[in-house]
Amino acid sequence: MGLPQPLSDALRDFEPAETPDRARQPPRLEDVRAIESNLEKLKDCSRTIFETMERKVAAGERPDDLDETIDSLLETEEEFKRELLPYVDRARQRQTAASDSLSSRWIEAILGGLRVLRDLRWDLMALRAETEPPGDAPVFDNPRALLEYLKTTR
Amino acid sequence: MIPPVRTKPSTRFIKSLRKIGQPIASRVATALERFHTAPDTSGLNFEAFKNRPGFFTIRVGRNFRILLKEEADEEGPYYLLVDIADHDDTYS
Repeated sequence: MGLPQPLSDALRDFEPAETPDRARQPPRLEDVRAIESNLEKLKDCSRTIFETMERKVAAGERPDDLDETIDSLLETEEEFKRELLPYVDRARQRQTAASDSLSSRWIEAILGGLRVLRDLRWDLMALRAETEPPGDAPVFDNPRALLEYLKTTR
Repeated sequence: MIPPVRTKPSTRFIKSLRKIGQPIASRVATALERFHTAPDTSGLNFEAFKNRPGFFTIRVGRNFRILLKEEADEEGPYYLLVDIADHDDTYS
């Protein structure tokens, strides 16, 4: 199953269509506008996914795909980091006074996409905490006792 | 007098800790010890989780954070250690 389909679609659009030749050039205005627009779609999509899951949890339901979505978001974030951060590094290296503003916008949009994935994952982790029992571990006021407990239960 | 920090590890936290492996687990131990003794230590970045009231995070190194939830029992408030996961701060 992996990621919810709307999010997979939004991510496919988000990926910059940069060829090795284009990577040597500063970003063009249309590229920047396209990625900024796709970032907004990604944010909307993330909001919708969270609100849908939140409604289910508020109704006392545990969404079947919650664990899988959280795991897939981490995998996707890692994959995008591997793919996109080299572009960001190259964009930073080729930044010149003339291209500064466009490059900065392009870099910010790429990093924004990674933030959307990370923040949705964390929001879902907090939501998941409301659907599962905390377990029967004791409450510790002594950190050494806590660490000893963690060592022995691991 | 400031009451001591109290924590309870959740089943999820224990499971995630088991998955992340030893080098990070050692940093987790340091972070938890600091959280108990001096939660305001600047490197911990103990802060409210922005989208969910009652939740907080502390930082473990550059790339991990622990999610906490404020709870209470008959002895007073404590923090449930909800989970630990990758949280890359380089693009925040």
